[in-house]
Amino acid sequence: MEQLIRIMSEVRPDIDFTTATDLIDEDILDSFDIISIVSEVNEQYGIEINVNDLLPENFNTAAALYELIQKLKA
Amino acid sequence: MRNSICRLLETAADKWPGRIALADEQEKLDFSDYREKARRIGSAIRRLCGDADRGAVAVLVDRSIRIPLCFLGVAYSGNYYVPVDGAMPEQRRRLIFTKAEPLLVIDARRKAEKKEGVVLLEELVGDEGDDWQEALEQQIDTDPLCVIFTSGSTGVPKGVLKTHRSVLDMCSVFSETFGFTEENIFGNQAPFDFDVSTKDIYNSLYAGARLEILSPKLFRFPGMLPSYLTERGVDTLEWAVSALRILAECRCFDGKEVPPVRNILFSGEQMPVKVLAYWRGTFPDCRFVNLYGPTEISGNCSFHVVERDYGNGEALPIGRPFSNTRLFLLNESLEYIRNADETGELCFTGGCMALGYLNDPERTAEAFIPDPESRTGISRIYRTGDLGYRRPDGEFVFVGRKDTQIKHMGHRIELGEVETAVNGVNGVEISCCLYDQENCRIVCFYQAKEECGKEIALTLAKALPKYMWPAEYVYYKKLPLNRTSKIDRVLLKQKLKEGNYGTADQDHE
Repeated sequence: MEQLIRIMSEVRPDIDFTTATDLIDEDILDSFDIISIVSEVNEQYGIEINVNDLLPENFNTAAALYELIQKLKA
Repeated sequence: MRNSICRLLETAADKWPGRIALADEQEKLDFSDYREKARRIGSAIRRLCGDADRGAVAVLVDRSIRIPLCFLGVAYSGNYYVPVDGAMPEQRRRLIFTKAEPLLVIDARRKAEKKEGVVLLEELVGDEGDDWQEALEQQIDTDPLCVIFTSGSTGVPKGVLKTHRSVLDMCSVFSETFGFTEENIFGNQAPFDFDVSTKDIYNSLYAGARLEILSPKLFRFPGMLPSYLTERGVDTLEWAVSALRILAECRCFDGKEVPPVRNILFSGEQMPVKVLAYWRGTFPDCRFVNLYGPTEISGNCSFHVVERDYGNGEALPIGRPFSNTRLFLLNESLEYIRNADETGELCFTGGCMALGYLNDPERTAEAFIPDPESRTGISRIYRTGDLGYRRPDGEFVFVGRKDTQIKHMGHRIELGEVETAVNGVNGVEISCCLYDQENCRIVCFYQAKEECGKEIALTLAKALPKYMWPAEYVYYKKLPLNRTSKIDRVLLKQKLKEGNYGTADQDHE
């Protein structure tokens, strides 16, 4: 989880991802943030988040994204 | 006579009153209502501004049908609009307002906030006066229509002033070149404070075509985009290369029903050949057009219809000039280059050229100069700062920039503006920002007593729009200097290219 927070913070240093919620519903992350986070996550975790995993509910919080990563790693 | 873009809406509303003009995920508007509401908004603005005309009206924008409506409303009032992203950091918004001196600020967003000094769009639509008529009668085509702000190297954004005439010129040229009709449906991707959206709003209006405003959500979660385009029948895209790149990178259309897109016109930066190959493979029957032109032209200078695939390292030409536009090259002594294959600065002139920079005679005079070959002493041309050459077959090719301006995420950015902001952070002595072309990111090298990348990032978040933030901060106790004692940008650029620039690799002398 720390690793993921680090990845996300590098893309958006202005957001505290340990507490932030509604990242999508409140339009906090834009398309470039998501693509940057996804490409970094894919590389660091050795997984492939594809276009069908790109759903709002997987990106609203860091925890939701972490869950998706765990699922894809399994 | 078509002396105002309001005439386009008048014509469309007379011809196709019941056809849908604007649509987004939640709302739609036909041409008749579009005109009625725009007139009302125009009358209300006119009254609020004390019958002033040719003054600035700032419009806070989102991505909804309310924005083109509000723009037209401002035009009906006889004033010009200055779009400002609702999410723009306060500090930069203030810089823009200082330059533009708006008579009125309208929050046209769906989720507008009622604040002091700000009028909501809803408050204007109810007006029943006919003040708009007077404004329209007096309007001439050299009046300003809008001001689009773009990055300025000194840290102060530049406002590019466009006239009604330049946008009308674009509409007729695009219509003649691409044959748009009322049957087309345009899919808008570009934000409304961004120059590309001018094409969407007015090329569709000119043709009587529908403009579908695509929610930014569709680009964040592109899995939903193909079916949405199909559902809405979108067939014409005038998009930034960066948007096409994002969708190609996630292979957005794989395994999906292919939407009925027939025209893809792209601009903003050089199109990577791999991205082009993905799109051409997905839409084999579609017309692909590479467009070239800075914000200082309404529409574009030149176009190239793509007829084949391109290999790695092969440059896609920017093509031939549109009609009523003269595109040419000047050498360093400001002489016309007549020979093919000789590199020089791309310059243009024509009815589509902007008037200049708002309240900025100095920067206007630097970029909009007298035509060196004209004997009138007064005909003006615009120097783009882009380098290019003309092939023997007459097609132009873009080579690069002569300064440190970059294209990033479809936006035009002066790295000098980013550096000015970084240098203003407490503790930072000096900085140098470079563009990592391969990975599409800005990297900031800074010199300070102690590492403070995090502090810089947080300060910039309050000062600059997001697309201008560096992706990485590299700390130097002392930045390398060249022989003239300036920061050695060449050396840093080399290190960046080799991927050998981290703090650990530094040689602290």
